[in-house]
Formats: sequence, C-alpha cells, structure tokens
Amino acid sequence: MGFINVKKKEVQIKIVYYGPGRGGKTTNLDYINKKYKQRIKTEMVSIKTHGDRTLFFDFLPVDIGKIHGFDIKIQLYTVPGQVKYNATRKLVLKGVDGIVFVADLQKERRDSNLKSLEQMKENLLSHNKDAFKIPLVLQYNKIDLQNQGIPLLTVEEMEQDLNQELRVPYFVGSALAGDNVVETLKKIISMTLISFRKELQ
Amino acid sequence: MSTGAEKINDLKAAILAIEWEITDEVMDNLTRTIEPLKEQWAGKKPLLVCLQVIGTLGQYIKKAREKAHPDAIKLLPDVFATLETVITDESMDDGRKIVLVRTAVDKYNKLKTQLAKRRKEPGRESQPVAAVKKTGVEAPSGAGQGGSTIRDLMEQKEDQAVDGAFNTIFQEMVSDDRAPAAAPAPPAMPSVGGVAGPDAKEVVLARVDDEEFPEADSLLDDFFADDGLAFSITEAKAEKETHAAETVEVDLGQIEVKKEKAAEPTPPVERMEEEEITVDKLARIIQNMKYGISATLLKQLAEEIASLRNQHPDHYSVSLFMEVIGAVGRHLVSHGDVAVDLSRNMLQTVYDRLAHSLFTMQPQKNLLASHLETVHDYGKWHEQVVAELAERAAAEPKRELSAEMEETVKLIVRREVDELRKELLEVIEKNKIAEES
Repeated sequence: MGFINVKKKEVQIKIVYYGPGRGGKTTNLDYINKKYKQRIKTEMVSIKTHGDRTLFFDFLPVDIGKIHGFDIKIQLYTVPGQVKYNATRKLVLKGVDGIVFVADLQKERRDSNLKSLEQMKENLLSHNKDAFKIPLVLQYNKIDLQNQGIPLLTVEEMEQDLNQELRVPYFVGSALAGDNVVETLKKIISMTLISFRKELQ
Repeated sequence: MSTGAEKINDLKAAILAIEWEITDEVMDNLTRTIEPLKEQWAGKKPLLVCLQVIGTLGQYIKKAREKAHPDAIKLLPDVFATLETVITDESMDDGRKIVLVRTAVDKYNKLKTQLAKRRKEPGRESQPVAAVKKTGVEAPSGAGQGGSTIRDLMEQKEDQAVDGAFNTIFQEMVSDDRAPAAAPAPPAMPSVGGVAGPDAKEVVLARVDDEEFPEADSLLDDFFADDGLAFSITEAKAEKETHAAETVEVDLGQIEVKKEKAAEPTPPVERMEEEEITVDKLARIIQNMKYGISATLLKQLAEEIASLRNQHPDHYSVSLFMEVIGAVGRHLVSHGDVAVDLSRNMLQTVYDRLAHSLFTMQPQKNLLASHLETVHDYGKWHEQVVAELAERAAAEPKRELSAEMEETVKLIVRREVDELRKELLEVIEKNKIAEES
C-alpha cells in the first residue's frame, strides 16, 4: 500500500519488477538508471552474486516531481528470479503498490513465465493482495532476439498464456535495447497514481 | 605464511557451488575440503579463524537451507576472498592480515547478531545466549556485541576453545531456524524515508481501468522526456569533480548510503573510465552466441573487443577480461567445432565478471579476486581445449594415398618435370644460338 503524508505533502509508491530468472528485470532498471541518471540523482542499489544474478533485490528510488503540490516518490524494486529465492520475492512484495511482470518471449521460457506468474499470485495472496486488483503491467521482453533466428512466442501466445484472465496492459519490448522500457514504467506509475487520485485532490 | 593459492582451489570451487545449489552433497563437499586445510595450517590462527567461519556458515546453511539468511550465503565468498588475500599476498605483514581477518569476522558477528535479534522477536523460542557465555570466551562487557566475541576468540591459545565457541555460535544460529514458523523479520529494505511516519496515511491501491489522470500523465511525460538528455560523459565527469561522491555500501542486508568526502579535483583515470564503459553490445553478442555461433557473430565479437580496447586503452580492470574474451573468440574462429559449449560458457562467465566489476562490486575489494578467478578459469579452459584438439588429432586416420591416386600424382609430377625439361632445353638452345651469333 502506498503512503501519503499530507503534512509533508509527499506520496511514496512501491513498484516491483517481477518475473522469471534471466528475464530482464534488472536490465529494465539498469536502463532507466543509466538513461535518466542525471534526473534520478540517486544510486541504484544491487546485491548480486558472482554470476551477476540478483541475490536479494535491486532498488532504485526516483522522485518524479509534484502533482497538486505533492512530491511523488517512486521506489523501484526487482526480485531475484532464481527459483530458490522465493522467500526473498515474498518479502520484496510486501507493501507493493504496482507490479511490472517481465515475461520472456523465448519459446523455451514458456513454462518459467507461467510458473513465475502463478507464484506471484500466491505470494501476493500471502500479503492479502490480489493480482486481479493490484495495478499490473506485463512486459514481453527480448523481442530483439527475433533478428537472431531464436524461436520466440507470438504476442497472441503470450496473451493467451499470461493475460487471458488478467486483462492488463502489456508491452512488447527489449530491456537490453531500451524498447518500451520507459513506456512500461510510465504505464505502471500512471495506473498506480490513478488509484491515488482522490487522495491528491 | 607461504601456503600457495593453488591449495585452496578446491575450497573455492566448493564455495562457488553453493551459490547455485544448496544440497547435502555440495555442503558436505565444503566440509571435506576444509578438514585437510585445517591440518595443513595448524598454528596459523588467522587462516584457521577464516576456515572456522566458513565451516560454521556452511553448517548453518546446510541446516537452514532455503530459510538461511541471504547474508549467510553472501558472506561465504567474502570470507573466502579474505582468506585468499591473506594467503596469496606475500608482501602483506601479519598485522595487516589480522586486521583483514577481523573485518571478516566482524561481518560474521553482525550476521550472528541479526539472527539473534530475529530469534528474540515475539513468537520465537527463547534465545540460548547463555550457552555462549558457558564457553567462557564471551567478552565480559560485550554481550550482544558480536565483534568482541571473535576478537577474544582469536586471542585464545587453545584451538579447542575456538572450536567450542564456534560450535556454540552455530547451535545458536541453527536454533533460530528450528523455532516454530513465525513471520520472518523483513530484512532492512532500503528506503529514501521521510514519507512513512506519524503523519503518513496508508492508502490501499486498487486497479482502476477506466479512468485517466492527465496531471499524472503530463508529469510522467515531462520526467521521462528524451529531450535535453545529453547523458554525456563530459557532464558526468564535471559532476564527479564538483560534487561529493555518493557510494552505496551493502553490508549484511543493511543498506546505508554514505556521504564520502568531496572527490579529489582530479579523480584517478581508472575510476572515471569505469563509470563510462558500456558493454551492452558485448552482452548481446555473447548472449546470441548461446544460440549458435556464426562467422558474423565472431566478427562482431572481435570488432567490439577491439572497439572497447581502443576506447579504454589503459583501463586496468577491463583489459584482462578483454584478453580472455578475445582469446576464446579467436579459438572459436580457428576451431569452431572444438569445445564449443565450454567456450560459450567461458565467454558468459567472463562477461558476467566484467559487468559485475564495472557496475556492482567495489573494485578495490573484489576486483583482484575476480581477476584471479578469471585467470584460473582461463587456465582450465585452455587445458581442456588443448586436450580436445590433441584427442581429435589422435583420432583422425592417417591419410594414405590409394594406388590409383599415387599413380595420378606420379603422372602429374612426371608431366610437370617433362615440361620443365622442355623449357630448360629451349632456354639452353636459345643461349647457344645467342653465343654463336
């Protein structure tokens, strides 16, 4: 749940990038951090293993400006994708306000996407949150691989697998190239802020 | 301490294996690799303390498995890195070695304190701190201050006392996870703070599909607009020179953002360049090679390495990784069917280390370890490649010409010789004529 401090006129929102391992969650944040480094002005915190995998989480705080006099402070997190770190994923989801689910377009990653989404729903339930109610955006990542002749799932297949019931906005993108990375983030922040609208007016 | 680095390779392998999989086999292997080293290093207290910490953490992780504190898994390679430094750096004096080991042990004690705090939370079993006191090595005024416990331990003369104390600490750590399942204490999440507080109000956010919030969209468009994003290296440099440097120190799950002293007017070349290097293209090429190696990809790899080298000719931390990636790439160009999977994995591993060193690690602490690992892996890769090439050469049948082929070759040679003889005779004839005239 988000925090609003009427006295200090501040709003704090927590966005979590969730998805299967090696799907591109950290790369999304890396791209945002590098591209807007001078505007973000704070450091991205990463805790990684020797193999450059996210061990605990990545964290990037972003102050995007004011709405109706309220400072909007966004906290971006990723979860570790490796299967063994579910306890950590659960912890990072605590107090989440909006989720970007980063799915992998590669055919061979189809099962991982499905399992990760199911686990995300369960983990949200453990915090009394519902994947059908929380602001959520899907990102179908790694579209750049289509030029390399790597078998990818079609958007229709991804929608069928992941979004048939959820019916949330989705973006086809490439975190590595930066395609639709910003659009995904803007969408999830926008969806989250709409939920705050009454409080801000 | 003259013990060579080669003697701890097995230990390093055992610790690296834990990062990927926690099984009884992996953890038992760790224990097995520690035992002979203990005997070998008898009397070398700093080394033994490191081994004790590694062993205790290993036992804890084995027992706690997925419930193990993430920092315990992170601490293992840290302590190993300290041990490796202490062993390999022959120029380091004993005092400095002890300081390094104490730093590692302090981290271990912080972890122990964190676990003890978790245990003391409501719903958890009563803590067995008294058990530690029974060992007689807890600092009298330092109960709860883990650091003094280990410092005292290091000064104990009997190794047995050290073993006993560590075992007690281990019991204490494990007992935490034997407690009835209670909500785990959330690890210290980083926070910019300031919003949550007595004046803060929580808002339960629900998805709203059919509404728009033009003010929010406008703000987002402004913030994420591309214009004016020079994103330039020059500006970044200038900023570094004039503003205080901000570093993020990650330690045992607690994240502190520390303001350091203002940066020197002329920061070292190394530091500046590290922040400017982009290796995204290299990452993409190596990633694509996993799905198949083509001449185009190998050409791209060679070009990208050459480009990075040209851009950063004096970059100390990058050069070694580039050398190794370049060598593996050249091998694939000349022998594209020998040790292919091994080479692809090698490229990915070295790239991972490169990226890790550029973006996440504190170079002064971990770069050397990363370089050493890379050199070690390169040696193993090279051995394997040479062995496979030799095996292939031995397996190839000796090529012998068939009788028919041999006859054909003879004919060709004879014809060539005849033609040469004819030409020679013509030349001699011409010379004779020339002489007579």
